[in-house]
Amino acid sequence: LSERRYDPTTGEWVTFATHRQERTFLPPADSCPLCPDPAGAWDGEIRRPDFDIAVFDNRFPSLRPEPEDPAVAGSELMPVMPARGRCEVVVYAADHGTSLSSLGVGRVRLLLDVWADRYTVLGSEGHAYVLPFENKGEVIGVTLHHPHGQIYAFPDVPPRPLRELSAAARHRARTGRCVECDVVAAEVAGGERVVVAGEHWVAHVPFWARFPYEVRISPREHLPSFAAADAGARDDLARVLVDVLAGLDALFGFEMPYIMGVFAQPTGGSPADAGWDGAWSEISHLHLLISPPYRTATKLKYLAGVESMGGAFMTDVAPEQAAADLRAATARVR
Amino acid sequence: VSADDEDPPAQPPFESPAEDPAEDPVEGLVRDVETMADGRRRITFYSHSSSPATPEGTA
Repeated sequence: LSERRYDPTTGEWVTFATHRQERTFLPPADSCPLCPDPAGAWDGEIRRPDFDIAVFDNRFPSLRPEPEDPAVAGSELMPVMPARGRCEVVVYAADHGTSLSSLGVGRVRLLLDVWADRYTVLGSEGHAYVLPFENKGEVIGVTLHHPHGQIYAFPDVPPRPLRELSAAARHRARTGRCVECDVVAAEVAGGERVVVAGEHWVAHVPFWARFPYEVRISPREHLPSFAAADAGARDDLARVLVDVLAGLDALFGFEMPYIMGVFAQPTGGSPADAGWDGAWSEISHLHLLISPPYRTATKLKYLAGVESMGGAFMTDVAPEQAAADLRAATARVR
Repeated sequence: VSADDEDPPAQPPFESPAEDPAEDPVEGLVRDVETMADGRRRITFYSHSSSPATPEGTA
């Protein structure tokens, strides 16, 4: 079963990919599918002895460029569509035992170029939204420990970025300004929630953080996507991101699990879907969001009744305290 | 998007990009594209032209 079904009670699509039940689940390190396997000894994905960053189509994709027909017949009330799109795996390094936080500024800088390149390539294929992300840590649900992220190319703008774009459209209509530009300026002026301040990029714990140690990283200037970011801006983000990830690892003294997403201008669709009658670039401000699940060194924040049923987040740590904790942690390892 | 303010789309809005993303302005990014062992999928190896693991790729 591989298809998208429409939920008329929320106006959102849900993707079904039952073949993913068969995907590789926490394999031992000596048969990791993302480790270099030049001779094909364990049917690894990468047939080179070494590499920097590798990007390839997921063996078990949720979305495909040429999807199969839906297995069920939809209706006017509940339509169904092929699961069109693309799912890519981004392997950060040949070394199984490392992580993005310890790969250093140079490799992170390369990753930014990779994200920019995939954004351009996948956007040119006609996908409407390109979402790079990383799931890190078993508590997040990773099935492969090898350091890697993923990129999903969607046929429409997914619900969360669409909500952000809609809010940005309302703010722009009301004020004539970009909401993320205003937030970054306010955080820089206030300073108490800033974790790392680079020349071009600022990392802060949001005023509205949904996870206790959530970090949002945004450019100071209005920048819709990485494709428009020059080398200086990318150099600066690499430094800021490495500092943030190192600080998260230092916070509780263990490698911090997290979900990280990169939100950029849609590559298709219509701004009218977000209630905007101008261009996507006017309401799109590139940013990264890193959401770690820990609220203390030993306690996880779960998305339970209030968050999952109500869609309303309750957070246990004041963002101002979280930012101070992360600044101190970052300073310890800088 | 809420449930009560629009009809569900019958087809995905699978259009050409509304605005062309800018070309990658950064020089020195090396891309080497190969077909994977299954003969179906593609794999792209990325490196910077100055990094040690760079194969004989094309910039």
